[in-house]
Amino acid sequence: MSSLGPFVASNHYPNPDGRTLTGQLQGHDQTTNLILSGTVERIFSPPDSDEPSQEVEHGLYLIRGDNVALCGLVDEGLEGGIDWTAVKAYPLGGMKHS
Amino acid sequence: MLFFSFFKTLVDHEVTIELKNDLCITGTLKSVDQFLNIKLDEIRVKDEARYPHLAAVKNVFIRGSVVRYVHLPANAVDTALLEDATRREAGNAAGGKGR
Repeated sequence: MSSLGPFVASNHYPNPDGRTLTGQLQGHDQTTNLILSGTVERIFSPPDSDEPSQEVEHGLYLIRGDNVALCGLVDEGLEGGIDWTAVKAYPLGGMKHS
Repeated sequence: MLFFSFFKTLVDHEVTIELKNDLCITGTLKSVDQFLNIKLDEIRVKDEARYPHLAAVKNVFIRGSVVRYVHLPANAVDTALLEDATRREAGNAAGGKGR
């Protein structure tokens, strides 16, 4: 049975509306509702823009399961080597009405 | 339940999950559940340059509802067995519902 139990560490969520949130997974349930603390949203600038990518602090979030696409366990080793402000990307596509 | 059972036979195989937002993720299938939520280990994102969002992530949990396709290795699937199982399921469903 798949479970989010082992992900009670750092997590990283592309949502169906294309947003990426990172934070500590405090709780979850069967419908993938999530409680994320210390939530940081990364807003990536498109590659043809000079603006650095931004991080926005959101604090404690309750995310409804319908809006969760993917939940990734952040690897501390890899995370340390990445300067997120320098990372540029086009926004992830939305998935509503797919 | 058929596909739940089917995916359980594919644990530890390498699969590629294509999501509804066009993201393709390759990894080792570690577990699946009744909602067809999928856990992959040691992931690689196809076209990493375009999708650096998951650069710091090795293991993922993918919600079943956002999966468009699961690309499988052809040699991992016994299609004859799958066809038989499907026929049985269809038979059960027809017998159960069409009274």
